[in-house]
Amino acid sequence: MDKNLDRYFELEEKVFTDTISRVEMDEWKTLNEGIMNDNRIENTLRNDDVNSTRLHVKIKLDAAFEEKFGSDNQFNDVHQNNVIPFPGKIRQLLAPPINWAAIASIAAVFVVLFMLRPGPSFQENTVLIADSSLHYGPDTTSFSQDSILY
Amino acid sequence: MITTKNTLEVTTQNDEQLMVSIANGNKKAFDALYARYEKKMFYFFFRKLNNNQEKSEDFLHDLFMKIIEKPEAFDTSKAFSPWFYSVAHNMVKNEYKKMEVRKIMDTESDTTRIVNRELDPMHSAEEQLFKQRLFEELSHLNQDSSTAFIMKYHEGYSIEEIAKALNIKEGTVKSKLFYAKQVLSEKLEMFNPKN
Repeated sequence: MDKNLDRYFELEEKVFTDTISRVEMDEWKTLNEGIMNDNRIENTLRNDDVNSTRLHVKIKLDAAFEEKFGSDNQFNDVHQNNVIPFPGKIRQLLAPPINWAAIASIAAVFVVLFMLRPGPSFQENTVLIADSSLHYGPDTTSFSQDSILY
Repeated sequence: MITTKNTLEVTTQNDEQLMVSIANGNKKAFDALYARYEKKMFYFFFRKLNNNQEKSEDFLHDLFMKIIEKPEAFDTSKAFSPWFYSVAHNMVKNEYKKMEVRKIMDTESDTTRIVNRELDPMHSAEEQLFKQRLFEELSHLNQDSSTAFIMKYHEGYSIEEIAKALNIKEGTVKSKLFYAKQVLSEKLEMFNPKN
């Protein structure tokens, strides 16, 4: 029986691929005694189709997938291919390793403080003028009568 | 451009490679696998669950959820297809055990629904009736036989693949297929044109 079954399915394959010889066809018919003619059962099953729309199933599965793995497909692609896609590379190059915004804010504070710093006092100016060689103020040098220079 | 490239990469991958990608969270790999198997697995459930569309959709959803939730359950060194069918087959078997579906299901209403949907003026009434009776009788076969029959004659799987899916020997698959043919031929004898 096992041997017959092996032969049966061997011939069946030949029938389906249309490679069966005339002699084998006779053998096939003998082995098919009691079986529905013309492979009607098999052919009906082969040509059977069920038409229906199952989009809602996919939508639910998509939601479940995103819930588990997240929706960042860009990351997934990188992870999968081990290659960073081109726009990703550009983004990576431009991506600041430090927080430039925070640094800019701090710098702005320093600039404002520098601009609001107190100006030089009058005393300081006086010293500067006193030290200057261009002093045109009243001559306060006094000379005595018995000076050797006089 | 990137999307196209990645989609191409995914579509050229075999099922086993797609499963590895899915385990890494690659959505496109999941989409590709779903596109490959959605129709055939729905058909499988539909015919196994007495043409019940709603239940078949639920089973289809649950089957793919198993891939999302636990992709590591699949051994990537083995063939995906027989494994996937074995999971689906076990789901149906459990369902039958749980509900004693043959006694409970309303065969009349389900059959009427499918006949109405498939009614095609090009097909003869006799052909439609034959088809209807064939699937009724197919659902009366034992689970292994009907699964083997659908896998072999609707999906075109080899005896070896069916044996792996059902975890039985190839000789047993052949016996079950031949026995199923005999039983169906006997039950549908009135449709045999040369008898």
